Amino acid sequence: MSADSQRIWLRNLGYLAAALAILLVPAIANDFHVHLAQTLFYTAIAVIGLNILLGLSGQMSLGQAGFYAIGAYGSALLSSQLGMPLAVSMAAGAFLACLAGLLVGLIALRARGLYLAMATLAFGFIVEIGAQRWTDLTGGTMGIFGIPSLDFGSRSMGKSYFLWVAGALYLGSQIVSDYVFASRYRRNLLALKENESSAQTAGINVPVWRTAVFAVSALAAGMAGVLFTHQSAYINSDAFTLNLTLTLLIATVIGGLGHSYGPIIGTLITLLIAEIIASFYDVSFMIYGIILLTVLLLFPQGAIGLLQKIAGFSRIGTSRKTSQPREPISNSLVATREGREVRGGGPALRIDGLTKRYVGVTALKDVSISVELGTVHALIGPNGAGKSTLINVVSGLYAADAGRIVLGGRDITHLPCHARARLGLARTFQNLQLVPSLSALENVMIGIRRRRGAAADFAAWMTSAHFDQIERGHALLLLQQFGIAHVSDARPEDLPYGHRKLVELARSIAEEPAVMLLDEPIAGLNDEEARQIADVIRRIRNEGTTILLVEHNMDFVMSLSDRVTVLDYGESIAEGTPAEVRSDARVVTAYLGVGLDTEQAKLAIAT
Amino acid sequence: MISATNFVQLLFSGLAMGAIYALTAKGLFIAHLATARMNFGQGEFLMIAAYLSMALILAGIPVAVSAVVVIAVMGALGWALERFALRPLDRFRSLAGGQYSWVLTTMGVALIIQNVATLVWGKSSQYSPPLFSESRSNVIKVFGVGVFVEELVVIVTALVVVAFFYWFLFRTRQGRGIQAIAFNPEAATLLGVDVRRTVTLVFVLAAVLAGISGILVGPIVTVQPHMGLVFTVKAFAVASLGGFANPLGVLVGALIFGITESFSNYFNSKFGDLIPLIIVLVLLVIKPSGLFGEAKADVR
Amino acid sequence: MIRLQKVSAGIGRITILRDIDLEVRSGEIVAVLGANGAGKTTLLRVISGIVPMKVGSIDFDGNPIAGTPAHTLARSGLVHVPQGRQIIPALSVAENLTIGALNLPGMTKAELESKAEAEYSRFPVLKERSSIPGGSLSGGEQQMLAISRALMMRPKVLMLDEPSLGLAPRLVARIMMELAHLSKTGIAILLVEQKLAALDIANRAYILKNGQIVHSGGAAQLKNDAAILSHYLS
Repeated sequence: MSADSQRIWLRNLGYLAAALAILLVPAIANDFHVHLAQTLFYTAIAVIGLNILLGLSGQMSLGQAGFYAIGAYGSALLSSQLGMPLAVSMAAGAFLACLAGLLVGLIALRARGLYLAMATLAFGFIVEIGAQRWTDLTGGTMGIFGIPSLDFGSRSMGKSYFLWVAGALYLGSQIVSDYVFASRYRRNLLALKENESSAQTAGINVPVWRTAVFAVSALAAGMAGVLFTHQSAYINSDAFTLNLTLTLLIATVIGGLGHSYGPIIGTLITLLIAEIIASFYDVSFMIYGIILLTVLLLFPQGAIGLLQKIAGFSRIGTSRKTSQPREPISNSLVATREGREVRGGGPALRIDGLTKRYVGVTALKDVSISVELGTVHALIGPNGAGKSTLINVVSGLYAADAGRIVLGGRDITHLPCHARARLGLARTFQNLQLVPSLSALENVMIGIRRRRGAAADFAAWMTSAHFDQIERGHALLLLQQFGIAHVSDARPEDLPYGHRKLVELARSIAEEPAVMLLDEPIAGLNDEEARQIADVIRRIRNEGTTILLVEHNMDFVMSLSDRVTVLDYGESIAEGTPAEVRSDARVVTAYLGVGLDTEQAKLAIAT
Repeated sequence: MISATNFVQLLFSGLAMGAIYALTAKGLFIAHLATARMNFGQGEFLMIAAYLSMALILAGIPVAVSAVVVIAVMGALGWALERFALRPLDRFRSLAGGQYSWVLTTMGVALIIQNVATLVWGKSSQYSPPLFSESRSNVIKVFGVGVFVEELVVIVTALVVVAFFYWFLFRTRQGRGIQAIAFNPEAATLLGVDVRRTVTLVFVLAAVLAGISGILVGPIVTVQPHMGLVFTVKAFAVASLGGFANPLGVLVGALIFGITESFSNYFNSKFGDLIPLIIVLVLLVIKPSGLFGEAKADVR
Repeated sequence: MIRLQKVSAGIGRITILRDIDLEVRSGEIVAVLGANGAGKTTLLRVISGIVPMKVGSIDFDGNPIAGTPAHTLARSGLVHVPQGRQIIPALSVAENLTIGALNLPGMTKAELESKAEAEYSRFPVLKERSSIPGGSLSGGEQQMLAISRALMMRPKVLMLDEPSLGLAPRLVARIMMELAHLSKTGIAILLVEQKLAALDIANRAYILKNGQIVHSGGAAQLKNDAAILSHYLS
């Protein structure tokens, strides 16, 4: 058995052991501890949701208690007032919470940072006040009595049954969370959090992901609320205040934000603290506050971070060592491109009368460029000529004010950024846009398209250590071809600038694009690295990829390009083969105006 | 329907509460402007100031003297908050949760303050003596309608303080330093701005603003240890509504919020205070960065 | 006026600058040329105290400056005009002009006003626009404002990070002319540039590549040495 499959067996064995442990708790624990374990399990579910929302997607929610309350009241009312079976009412409660999450997610879609926190805080507060005052429905602080317990009709075994249900749901959530942390979901969510524009240009539909992760975290909070309701058969509005949101948040952070096992540890610590300080009734809040400050100021990475420090690991479970691929998937850089082949015989990318205005400045004025299939087309011009703006408009980060952009016969002028990426338009950025908390390899993997649905991928993850072997292998192969496979586990901040540029180039190639937009691919690189990039560009061109390139280095542009367009003050002033452009009087003037400058010097040297 | 007298009275109580929200939110605004952080315990700061002011006045100390004492204490509290609950976090900014740790540390401080207030003054609601008149219900005639003196004074004071802040932010060396930091801390340093001191100053000011709100609000509401959260939520809502980077927006947002709340409470005593919050939520959908927006360059 | 000896610096674990020896004397214009990513901006950030150096020493006006906070250096005449000009958009042109000088010790209102007048006569366009927000100036006007704002701060050393970036040729020439003029008043100027136009006004020049100084010498001589330029700037 290989070390990899051994790891998977150990992990699955761990799940089995956890299941057994949950089964055995009632046999060895007293009533109080059973109750504590129940609370631990269902609370941890809500914390898992929050951990994914905040730790991975970076969205701050101060309204989790609202979702929890909706789940709780939903199931309580449906089962006690309408007499629905528990299974139905519980599912409905969790579903309602999920629906609320979807709604809040949609509402909060355009809000970021503090405004998002505000929107969720307001939502939580509204639910809290509603629970308190809509007494006809919720009973307010008097509460709802006579909610059926989740005890399967058995008074003596009821507590154990509940524990088992809560434990099973927790374990299920934990497994899903583990999967999320091991799969493309983690990569995409972190990309979303840390670098939205690079996520978009890699084809991630940002609004959908944002909303979905909100709905998932609300579902988790709703499940916890549902279980809470049927634990004690009585609920009142005091349980759903902002304090609950805070407790969940504290558990997330104390456990270790952004680690799959942070929630269960954090919840355990939080519950224990609550038990301990309950005996200091008068000063309990003060102690809570002091503990909170101490933990955050001394152990900012939470319990998991502390454990890792003690154990000497720095990044347990987040990024695993990549094994070398057994066999190269293909010798070509662009492995496959099914369905993204550019149709027809026309140009791969046609830009027609493109105009872009900022306040007071026209950055692009009626620019038309036709990039022929399988060619390298360079865009040159002095600083501020509008080259980067053009790349940004074509890739969809900025909207055009006038004109058309046609990719392989299809008008993409009004498509969002991620849709253009999916149609085969990839790009790199002038000032690199990598995801800081992902390794070089994982950054490349962001570009690789999914090969199967979530369910199939999950099943593969459960059973095989190599569930993402193809993606990993492909990404590693690209890094190998660029000669930087040895740094595949390093994070961008630890890489030299040249390596980072190569990683970004590899990511955009991983998208298997029909057309690539490269914004200053060799700026800041040394000669050797620049030669390497030139080789790569030639190879992908020879394999049929079309390239639109912005670059200052004339030698590089002249030796590599099939055609050159010159921009000056947002207007296209010349177009032709490198030789034609070099001798064009207008071009020389555009550059000469600045005095003897680098480009001009090189032009002079080159001729 | 509503009588003219009621209308004017509701308008003035709305304006008074709006003025309080404006002061409290100004504190959030200025802290966020300079540091992208703020005090989630701003309401608790207001609460403790209300208690302190009440205690001092009841002990026979003249209103003006007690106000000065309370403001000094609050300034010290703001300094301590920045020094011990926020500045140490700078080391962790780049860590996974580092971006949001300030939410929890400032809430931790809020919990401690709340507990202290409960220990000293008990859990029950108390009435703070009026600041400017013999009794809480003193009225004067405005357009022939009786208006509570305390409310009127609150409105005037708040407007004066807001005007002062506007002057401070745009006309003084420190105020321009804050704006430079808000734009770009590094560029501010290169212009000779002592960023660390200015950030401390900002949190002292935020706490002082909460203090002034606390002193003023005592006589027009009841004072109790748990009143803080509601003020934090509303100040937060108001600052969002006005746009976190727009100094006048906060005032306008606060007054709209206060008046809406006053009238919605009158028409629906049960859920009235939810209406303004729901309105804020809806407005945030339409205008995700506040009514008056944030000038792009101010957001960093 | 400013002197670096064996300075190395970096961010985190990465070393960006290695063994930099560099000197700028009063009344001299020194250009530092280099491609994107060569470490030019970091060099200025190290000198102005924003990025701590790891090894080496920097003397300013005869005194070592290691450990002095950046804002103190700025107040004592080591003035750095950062890349992108960093005009505060919400403040008016006049407010931007004085925002740095306000922080200087012993700055009186009278001195502030006379200095502002001097800058207005240097760049009359700033006077015309003195009451509009800084954010609505054009790139060239912003660059003028940034230079004037720095000159208000009684600079002994003026460091500029790519002042020509994004400017039309005519404006670049105007700015360069002004810098040449300024150096005659005794200010030491350290000019970081990608454009060789800097060589037209500089007395001496250094070429920075991958964090190291790979060439130094007289500007006029360097300007005509196509071999060195093409080798080091590519």
